[in-house]
Amino acid sequence: MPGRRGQADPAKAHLCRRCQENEPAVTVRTEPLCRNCFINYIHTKVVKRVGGYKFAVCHSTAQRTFLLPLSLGASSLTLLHILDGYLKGQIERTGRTGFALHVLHIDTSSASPHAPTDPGSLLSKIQDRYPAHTYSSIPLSDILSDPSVADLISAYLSSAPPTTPTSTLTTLLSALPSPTSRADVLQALQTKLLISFAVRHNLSAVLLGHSTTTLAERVLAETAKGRGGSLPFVVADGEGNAEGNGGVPFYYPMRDLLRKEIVAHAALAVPPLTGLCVAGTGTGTGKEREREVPVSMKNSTIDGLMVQYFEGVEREYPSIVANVVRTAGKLVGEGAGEKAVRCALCGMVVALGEDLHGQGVVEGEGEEGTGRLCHGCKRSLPKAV
Amino acid sequence: MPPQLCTHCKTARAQILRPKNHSRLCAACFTSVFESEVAATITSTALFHPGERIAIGASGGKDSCVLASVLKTLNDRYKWGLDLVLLSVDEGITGYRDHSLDAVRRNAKELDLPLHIVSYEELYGWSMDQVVAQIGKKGNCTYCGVFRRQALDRGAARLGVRHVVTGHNADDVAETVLMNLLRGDLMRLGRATGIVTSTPAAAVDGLKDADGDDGAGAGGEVGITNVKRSKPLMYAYEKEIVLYAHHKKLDYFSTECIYSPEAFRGSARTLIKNLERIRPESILDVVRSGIEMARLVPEADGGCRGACGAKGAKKEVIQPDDEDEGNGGCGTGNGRGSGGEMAEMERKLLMDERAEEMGTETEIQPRPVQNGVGADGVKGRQEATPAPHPASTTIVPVRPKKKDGAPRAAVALPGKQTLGRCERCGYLSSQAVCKACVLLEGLNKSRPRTAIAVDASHG
Ligand SMILES: [Zn+2]
Ligand SMILES: [Zn+2]
Ligand SMILES: [Zn+2]
Ligand SMILES: [Zn+2]
Repeated sequence: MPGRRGQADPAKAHLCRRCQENEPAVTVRTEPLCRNCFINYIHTKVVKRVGGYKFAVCHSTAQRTFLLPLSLGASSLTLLHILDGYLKGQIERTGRTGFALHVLHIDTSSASPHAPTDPGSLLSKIQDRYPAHTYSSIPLSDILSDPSVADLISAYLSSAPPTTPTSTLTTLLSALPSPTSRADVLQALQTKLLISFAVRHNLSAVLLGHSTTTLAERVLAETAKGRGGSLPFVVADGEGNAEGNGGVPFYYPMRDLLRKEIVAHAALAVPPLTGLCVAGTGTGTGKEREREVPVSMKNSTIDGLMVQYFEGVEREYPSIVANVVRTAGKLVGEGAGEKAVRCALCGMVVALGEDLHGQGVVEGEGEEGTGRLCHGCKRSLPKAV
Repeated sequence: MPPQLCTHCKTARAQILRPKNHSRLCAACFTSVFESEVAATITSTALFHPGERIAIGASGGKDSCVLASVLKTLNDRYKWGLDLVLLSVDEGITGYRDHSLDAVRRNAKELDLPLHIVSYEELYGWSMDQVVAQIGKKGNCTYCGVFRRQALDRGAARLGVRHVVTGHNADDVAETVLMNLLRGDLMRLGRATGIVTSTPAAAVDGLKDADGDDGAGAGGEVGITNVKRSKPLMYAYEKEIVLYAHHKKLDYFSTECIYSPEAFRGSARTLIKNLERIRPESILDVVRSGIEMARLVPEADGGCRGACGAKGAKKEVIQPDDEDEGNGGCGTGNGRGSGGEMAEMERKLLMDERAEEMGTETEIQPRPVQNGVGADGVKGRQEATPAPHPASTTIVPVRPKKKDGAPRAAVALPGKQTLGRCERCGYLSSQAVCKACVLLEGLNKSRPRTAIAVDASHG
């Protein structure tokens, strides 16, 4: 938040609230800020958060490398943009960096009609602008080489085992019961792929561009999908969620920003980030959309509904968005313990023998070890009939 | 293609697609499955004991009408020996309540159950019509909810009944779960999915009247603070309740309350309706999530977290001066409220944030815990300093302050407040004066009326 309010000069009331010199370019939580002060505000929020992470400080031992997944939306690109500057600053000050980045794009174009078209050209533009990092791009179907995923899918598609990874993925997705299930499984598979990529390349953490708005959406979406017990992990930052992510912590350095702030920053950054990421059209204010969430998705998936819902809340009541995340963060995660059975798809602990009173659905009944799914994943990936 | 057959009896034609599991049933199988599911809910939670007197909170709407019908049916079928009575509250809303009370009267006759009606007018000196004339339509649901909450207890106490069942359904519970996430109310989130939503004062050690009365008067009379609440239909879809009423040809009053719900509730309701459209199972999934989250609410067991061990411990919770949530009468209205509550919270959160940045955080302290709170969280108070509260107290967790220090600070445990009795009317309250009395005071300021009629049994 912009600070240094204090004795405002009435003659400067129309100017940037922070520097009181320039014309305001954007209003941040009721305060008009000029372009410079706004950019400063965005960077400060992220850098402050990163500075609080233990890993960010220079170590004398071997440098660690982190995975930065790039969806080509404004959020993950902004994270790359800010961390790139942060690392450059470290070099200037100390001659070294606290960590290195491995940027990964997962190509979902074969699985999702909403994936960015021509990711390759965007990626090479990004690499040109931020050349200091390692870049990879892999198709989502790579996740099928994970034996546990292969088992899960072959159990689901028992009838006709498709031949290529890509066709297996499309067959699987088209066999799922609803758009919500497709979006849910797609997201779970991407997460799984991030984890396996990180493990394979010895990357010790994942840095994601989630805004507080993204996290709030996930809080309500996971609640609606019957995964309320996983919320402490959903909103935890870093080590607190590693347990559910195969031991790889996920960090959210942009979690103190709203999505609309990130989108506004993408247009105001120098030079702008908008040419390097997928510009959403969205509703209403047009360019204020981070990513393309097609109207059909908004109306047909739980994730899309929550995006749409928080778009409105963010516009009118931005502090309530952050408060939802804060509230979920006050829930105390149950320590799972060694023997806990984890969901084969999402990695959350499966509650065994749980029944809604009198509803006749007991979790985990009559199921065998490896293919066990949590309630939410079972909803998205029901047993083939 | 031949007509699809009922998956249950496999002979009759399927007429009903169940939202919660996509099974297709014929009408006869549907009503019988619906009844056995409610029965399973009741038996698996040991909700009633043989011979128990139960007041069914009857609004004339579909939920309580179906609840009365199902309970009557199950009681006869399984010989539970329950003594069922219908209890209605007359809020005094012309054009709404008078018609719905007619429906309740017809139900009582049809089911052959005794009916008792208590009115706001007689309890508080104000009908809802008069309240609205006084304060306008904004925010009147608060009055209605707070007044109803007490009215059912007072009505039950008059009848000597210790257990009131209400018609809250799965949609209501799911809505409450989302609403409490949205307004950041962790304690209510922890309570939303309990089948028993309040506990008799007598069950909590130390909560006794100054004269040692446990809330129940002499001669087995029941005090207003000694009435528990439960919701046997909390796993039943609203859609199925409507279907059940339809197939059983029940006579209910279907006009919804004309007053709009509070903004957070309205917002949550819209979300639930959209979720149901997208994925019908998600209503029960939200309820399931709510149950999981309730276990994760710090201190939600009123201090016994872990100590008492039982998972079911959470259903024994206290709900001091709460409002009655989303069922019967007000609160069933559609659409969004004024939005005032959300705007107000936004302002408050923004102020907190500003204060934090300025480094001059004006910490709003939870009401100081008054005197020796033991590890069990329950202890009588020694009157060291003059306290605003005359009665002995029990410590219960209340909603946390929405002030979290640094972002993502370590888990902030909810503050605690003392639960005692309203010094004016004797109702359970975490404040010296209960919500109803506070609201009444505001009303009476501009037009002096009578005070709350205090129960004869509770003097
Ligand atoms: Zn400025
Ligand atoms: Zn799962
Ligand atoms: Zn049948
Ligand atoms: Zn009172």
